Amino acid sequence: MFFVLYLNADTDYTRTPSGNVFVKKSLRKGLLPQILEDLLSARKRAKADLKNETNPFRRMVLDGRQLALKISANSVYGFTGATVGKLPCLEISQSVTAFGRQMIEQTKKTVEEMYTKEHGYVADAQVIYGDTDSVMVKFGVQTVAEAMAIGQKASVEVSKQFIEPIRLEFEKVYYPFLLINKKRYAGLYFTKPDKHDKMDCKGLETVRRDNCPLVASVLNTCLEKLLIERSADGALQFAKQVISDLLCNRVDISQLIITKELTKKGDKYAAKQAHVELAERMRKRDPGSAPRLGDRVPYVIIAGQKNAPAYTKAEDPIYVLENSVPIDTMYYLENQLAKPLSRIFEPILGDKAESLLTKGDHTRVTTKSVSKVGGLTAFTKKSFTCLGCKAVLKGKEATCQHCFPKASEIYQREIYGLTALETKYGRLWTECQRCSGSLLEEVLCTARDCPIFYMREKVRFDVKEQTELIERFGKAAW
Amino acid sequence: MKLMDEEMSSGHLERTTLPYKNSSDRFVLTNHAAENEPTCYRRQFASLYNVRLSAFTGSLTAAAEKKFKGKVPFSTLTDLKKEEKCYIIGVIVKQQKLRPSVLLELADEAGAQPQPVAGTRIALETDYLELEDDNQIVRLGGKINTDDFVTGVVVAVMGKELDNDTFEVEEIVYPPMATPAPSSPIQLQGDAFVLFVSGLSFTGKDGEDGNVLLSLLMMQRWLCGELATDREELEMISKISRIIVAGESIARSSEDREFSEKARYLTRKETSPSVECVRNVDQFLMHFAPLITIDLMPGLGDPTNHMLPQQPMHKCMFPKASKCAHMLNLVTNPYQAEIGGRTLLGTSGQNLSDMLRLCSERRTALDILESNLIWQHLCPNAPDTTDIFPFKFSDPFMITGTPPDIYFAGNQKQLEHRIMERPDGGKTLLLSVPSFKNTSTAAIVNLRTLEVFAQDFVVGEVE
Repeated sequence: MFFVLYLNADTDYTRTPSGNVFVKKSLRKGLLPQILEDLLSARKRAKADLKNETNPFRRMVLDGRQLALKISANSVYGFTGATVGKLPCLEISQSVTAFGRQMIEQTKKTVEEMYTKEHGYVADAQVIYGDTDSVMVKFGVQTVAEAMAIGQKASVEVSKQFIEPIRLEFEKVYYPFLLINKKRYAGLYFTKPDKHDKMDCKGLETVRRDNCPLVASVLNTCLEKLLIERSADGALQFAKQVISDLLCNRVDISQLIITKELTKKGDKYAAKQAHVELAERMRKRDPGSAPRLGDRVPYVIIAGQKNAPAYTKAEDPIYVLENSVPIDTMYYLENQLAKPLSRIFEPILGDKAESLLTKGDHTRVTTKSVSKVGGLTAFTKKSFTCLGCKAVLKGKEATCQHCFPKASEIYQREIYGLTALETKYGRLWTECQRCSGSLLEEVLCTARDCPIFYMREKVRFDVKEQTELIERFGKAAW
Repeated sequence: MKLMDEEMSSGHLERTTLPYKNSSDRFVLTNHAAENEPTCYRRQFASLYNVRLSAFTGSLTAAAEKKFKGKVPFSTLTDLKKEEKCYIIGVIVKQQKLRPSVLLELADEAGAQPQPVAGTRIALETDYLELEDDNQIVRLGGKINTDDFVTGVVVAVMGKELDNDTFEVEEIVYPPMATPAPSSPIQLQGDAFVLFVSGLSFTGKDGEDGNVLLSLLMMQRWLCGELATDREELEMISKISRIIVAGESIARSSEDREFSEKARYLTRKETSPSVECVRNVDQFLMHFAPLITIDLMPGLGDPTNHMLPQQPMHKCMFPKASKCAHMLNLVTNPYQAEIGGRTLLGTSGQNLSDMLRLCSERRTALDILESNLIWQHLCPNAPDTTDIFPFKFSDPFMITGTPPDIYFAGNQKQLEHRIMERPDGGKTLLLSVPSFKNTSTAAIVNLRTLEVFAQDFVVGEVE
């Protein structure tokens, strides 16, 4: 037994661009549209409430609610496309993306036809980027306010061509805008014409924990310099400065720490992993303070022997500080910083961005710390070098004979290094003393997530080293 | 612009010399073998507060017992009983909302609240005091003025703990001052003077240093007696026995800070921006040392260590002045000396400027100097907001023994002075020495009468 449905192509069903066929709502309303309408109206209410709310805390709650509703609505179509999901119906998801693409095409056509010089606009509009449900149009206007007005107008125009309730919403103006590649861009985000709301970065190395914090902070500052200060030069200078600081061991170690969770015992992992090996080593040194299962293990990558496997190069940051173990700065430069940095500099510097950053003058001055443990250190003898020209000295005086006339200049360079470190020492340790809530008790805090924690340890070593260096100049008085 | 290069001899003036003794030994770090051990920077600052507290406890207890005639018992904070009168001894902690914080500064990079601008007063109505002894902390209320204190002062307070857990203060007891030795001999027959100057603030840039150099040139001629208008003035000039340069001979510029933070690859071949400034200081010393003895104290921004006590500036920086080394005294900051039987004690002003910042406008520089003598501490705000060496066994900043006859601080906004009548019956001259760069003023103190007068060396605008 079968039914023959006599349906009229125009009034009764829709054929989507992907070739799937759905009946119109006049015949039967679907389930998903009902869910969606509910979600959208709920979001509308939340947004209206948000507008009237003055209490900042409640505003945050409402803002979160409207975002959650938006995401729920956006993801409805997503699970129809997941074949292992609860409600798979590939026809729907295919059709949605096909419609999306078609609408983007349509938008592109409309906008590029309508906003041209011929129609009296400053420049020909150009659609530069589109992704699933959004388009970015370059209107070529001079100010954010103009762009906002023209964008709003265009969105209304385009929406007219769409079926209710689909609308093209005007969302934001990016100015300036750095488009790196698909799904990766950054820009200053304007929703009001006078001041930017924030710096928006999509798809760039954000705070991912398998990157060290240095990457995120450098990238962020570089983008700020590029976008807010509009200084490509400044951004490049800054990147070089950070790279130079990294190579000269002047970056705070907390910036170089990578953390990974210790999920199972070492023998349960298939391949050897850096943090697991490290946890094992730390247990041998001091079973009490070693990380346990479920802890996040913080580590830095240290310079090891040549071609040493990566998993042997992880080390506990405190151990590194106490024994002045050299850090593998090249690893951080090449494996952590180079890629993300060159990505944002490529649109500005072209293909040579990466080599400009990882090679060049700023990488040629480096400081190597000499480890107090391991290897051949037990057999080495320390001799002093002239602070002016690095010639090896017999005694421990500050300069060689040739540099002696310049002693004043050398002394000043070193003494200002000392004052900077002393200031840091004083500020950091009194801050901890204050933070601990008592002036008369020693600070016991071991909060490794505190930005001060590693700094205050490092500065102890640095001050001591610099003080000893200054002592080589001898007594102050005549 | 250079100082006058022609040879000037002190020949025309017969300058008085006075017996002099540098008594700053306790401020020389190398004299503290135990303090200066190689592991000293492993220390924290808690030990310094502990030393200070225990050093004052004895005299405070005695003073309190005497004052309350043994009728009010002592109590530790742990044994404190509600509504029972007692006195407690501890370290004052001033809780200030605007206290500069490195933690916030670091967070600032991630967009947290801004830090107060340096130099502005940070006292707020909401600040309050706490007292900490070796075990506990209690909040203070009642008859104690938050504005009168800074963190780190050690006092005894009498009162009782209220139900709301604050300690209601009725009376404050300070450590008693040592009485001056009865036969403190003033060896001065007639007038004798000391000239104080601070904050030459050389920048190393000709355009900016011009005025200071001209004013110094004027001072040089004045000291030679060339500018004296009458016999009296000439006689006075001849009785100026030494100059005390109270710090900040080199301007702290943002450049210095940038220099130490700038990437190494950029600065490797450059010289420190201070080099030119130091050359100017050397020049200045070279011209003055033949005329008069100079005590050169370091200050904030000068090329020596940053933490108090600052050690003397290094001789290697003054090759020209070294020719008159016997007239040039490189001293510490703080600096204590006995000149003609008078005891001088003072700093280049870091302590005072910091304490001023921590208190409201109501408190003047001289008020705070006076408080220092009452608290018997040069710089209680160290280590909290002024940087100080992490002492462990002693606190050399305590003003023990007989209080000084002259207590000064350099690099202040204006010249101020007053005589403080000490509770022990003695007198101390409180002196705030202005920055020479901003005021072109030097302070001249009569050691016999402790009178102060200002000597201006203002020159017109450089064309």
